[in-house]
Amino acid sequence: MTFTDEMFKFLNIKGYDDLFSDIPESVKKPLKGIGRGKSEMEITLESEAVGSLNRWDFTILLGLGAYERYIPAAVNNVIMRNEFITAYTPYQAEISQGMLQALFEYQSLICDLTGMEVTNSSMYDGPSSLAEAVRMAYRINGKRDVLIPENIYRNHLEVLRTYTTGVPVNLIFYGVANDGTINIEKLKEMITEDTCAIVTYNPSTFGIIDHGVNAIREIKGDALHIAYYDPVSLALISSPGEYDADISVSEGQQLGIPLNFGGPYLGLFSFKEKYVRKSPGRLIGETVDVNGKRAYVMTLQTREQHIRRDKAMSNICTNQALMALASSVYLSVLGNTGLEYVATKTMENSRKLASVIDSVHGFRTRKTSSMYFSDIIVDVDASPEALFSYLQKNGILGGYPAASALAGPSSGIGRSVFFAATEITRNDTLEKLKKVMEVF
Amino acid sequence: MGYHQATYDERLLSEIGSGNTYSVEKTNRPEIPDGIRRKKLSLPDVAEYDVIRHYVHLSQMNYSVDTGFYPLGSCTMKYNPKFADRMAGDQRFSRMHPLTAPEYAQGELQVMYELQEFLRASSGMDAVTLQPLAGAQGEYTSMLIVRKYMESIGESRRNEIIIPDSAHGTNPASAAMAGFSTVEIPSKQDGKVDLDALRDAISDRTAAFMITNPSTLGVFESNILEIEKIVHGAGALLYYDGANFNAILGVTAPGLMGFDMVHFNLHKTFATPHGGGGPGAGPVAVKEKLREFLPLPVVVKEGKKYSLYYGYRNSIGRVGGFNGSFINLLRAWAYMKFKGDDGLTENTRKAVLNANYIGRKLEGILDIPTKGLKKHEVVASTRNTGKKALDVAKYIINSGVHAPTIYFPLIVPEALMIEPTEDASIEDMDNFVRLVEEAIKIPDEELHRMPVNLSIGRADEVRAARAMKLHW
Repeated sequence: MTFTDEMFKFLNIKGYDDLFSDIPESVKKPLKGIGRGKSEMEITLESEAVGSLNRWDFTILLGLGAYERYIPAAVNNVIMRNEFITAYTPYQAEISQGMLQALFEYQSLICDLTGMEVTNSSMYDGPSSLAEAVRMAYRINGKRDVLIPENIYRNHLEVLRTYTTGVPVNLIFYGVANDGTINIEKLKEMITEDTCAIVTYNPSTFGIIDHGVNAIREIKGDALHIAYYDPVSLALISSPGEYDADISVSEGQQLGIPLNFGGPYLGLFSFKEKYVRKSPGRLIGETVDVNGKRAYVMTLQTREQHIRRDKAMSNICTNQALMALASSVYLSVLGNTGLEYVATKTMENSRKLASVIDSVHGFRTRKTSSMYFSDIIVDVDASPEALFSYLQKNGILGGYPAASALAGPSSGIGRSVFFAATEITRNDTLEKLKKVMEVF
Repeated sequence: MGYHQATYDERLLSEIGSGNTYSVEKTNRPEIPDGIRRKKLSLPDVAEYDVIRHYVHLSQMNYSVDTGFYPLGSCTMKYNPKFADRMAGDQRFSRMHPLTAPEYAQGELQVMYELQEFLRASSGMDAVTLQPLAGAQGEYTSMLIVRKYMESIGESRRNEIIIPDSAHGTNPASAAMAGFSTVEIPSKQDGKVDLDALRDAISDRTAAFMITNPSTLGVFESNILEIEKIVHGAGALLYYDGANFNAILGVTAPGLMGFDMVHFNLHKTFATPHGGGGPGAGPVAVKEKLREFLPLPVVVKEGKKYSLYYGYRNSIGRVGGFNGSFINLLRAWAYMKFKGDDGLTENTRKAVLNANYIGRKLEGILDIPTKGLKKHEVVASTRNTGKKALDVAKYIINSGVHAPTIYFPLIVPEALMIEPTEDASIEDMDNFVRLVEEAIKIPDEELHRMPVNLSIGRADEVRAARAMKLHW
């Protein structure tokens, strides 16, 4: 007798059908549309064939929120440990100390990186983190107007609009300078007693390091400063904590996560401690066990959906724990020297990339008195769409039309495109780009 | 005898201090002006071999599906096939930038398109979005669709969502996030919807009824067709929480039961690993009349070519930055193809058989508030034994088995919510029942000392909340 028969006998039923007699016959229907099952070998070979339909061998000179960086082998080695990847959320603290400590360390590492007081144990991605930050700001001060730069990323704006549906806040654009950085005088004039939050990007969405973020604390009044940063850049440029941001958010993909065609990524979410009870997401806290030994637990759960239900600070339940772990391994293997190297090499390469682009007739990087970090905005004489398509035909992913990437500043991006360099950008890649661009 | 988890007095990364060993080529620091230069970066500097040892130690202090039985109710902790791990790391998929033009990302789009079709077929719906990044975001997406649909037909006064008191907490939280008021209705003793309570609550202000079927008590809502009539009769939409989809896949489908929309948890039903708390993926499927409200883009196929479609005028907008949790979509696609129609149906049968087996075994030991057939999980109460669910759970984990979900659903006192999944063996389940029997015989005083075989004893959660130490 098979185990199944044994169980049927134990339950005193004839077969599987008896287990579903509580479902009305009229709604039963066998599954069709997926096909016959396949062997592991078949599905593996098939996936390889499907994967080969992708141009995965492109030279990547594009960022805009998703960057190709070198990932130390240690990252994958750790996150593929069965004990991490096949665990659920650590609801039973005593049997899940490994993940809880790892997430506590993630929170700490991101606090170290950003100079912020508290970091939650992860959000879905950068754009949804920004949107949750705006909702959090509204919960904190109940004010109406959220100021966002007119050159905000289009996908960020779209997620923000979605997430503020049903919340009585207005998203109001503020103008930026020709190089995409904050114009403090203009911004200052827009701040009123109804301003809920000011969203800034550093580097700006044009890719330029923006001194303007320093001045926000003097002009913000009762509004909250929500700082969107580039986590790698923080090895070299001021952190949100240093310029006194109230909430800081970012996309953590750069910290040890492959491009993955857009996901899974990692939402980095930090804030001042005084706002903790208004914050979304899970928090891991340190405590002790009955014997006084250091221990970690999920804490302040009364903000969360499973306790507070419709009064919760957010509906988030599953987050990006494994991706948070990936970023922790990345940051701890690299350490200060490694991250400083990655940031330095990135800037060095983006400078080289800019000079290659400027050397080709018909292409001009946008002038600035500051510096590019990784992304570079380039004004072109030709059609941006034609360029983007032409470069891909030649095996290069770059030259993404700015009008598709950004919401659109008054300074004009209709004839602009984006490139990006990272620490892995090689000189021969830049030479190839130059040759290809010269005959465009 | 028994289970002993590895135990280390594992230091924090910040306390290791063995010095940085990461090798880099020489570079010259760029001249960044004073005002915007990072003053001091102070990450821990730890040698790589210490980093690896650290995480190996931590992993050994973490229980997982690959460690042992994990009957955590509502979480569907099934085995995650390893071929999908290899696929997830295949550069042909993972080295793709999300802004690559569709003509050069045909493989990614084929996976997404086929997964849309698979989810459509298995739910009996008409259109699918893969964009939501977790189940809760799928719920939120659905609630925004409800809102926009009601606006589009001139029914924006419908600002209430009805939710049974047995629902997952994400349901009321998602509805509230989308700007709705929630109306909670009591469930009957057997965990089913109280039809009279539903009739009383429903009105011309109701936008939707959110329901989990089978309910969080693991019981199929046999009045579902009556519920459908009440809800649609009142002009509201019917939403299916797909957390418990593993109980019905291949037997029936939300579309056949009259639901208008459903979210899926790919990490539950379709075996993508949960990663210690994520990443998940929460696609949403809807009936035709709601198609044009889906987030954009969706993947379409014309001839043999796949492309991204942006044309729905009533789209609720984006919920995530790019194309959803693509690698999870890939894993789910592979899992569905691997199992096929028959294999997925077999999963459901086996999962339900196992839940009924474990439920019957527990009868007479614990109080089972619902009589009759269970679906994929069974909810039991320790109240009849005088023991606390928490104490029983701690005994179970101390013995090397993951505890069931405890104190949920909220309507059952001292609840243990047990979901064995299709992968549990008789041995796993018999062992689990034996542990419950042992636990309830142990004097409270001794039980309160549990666990003793794990890396820590009971953790002081009150102190954690009071001390609020959230970083090193």
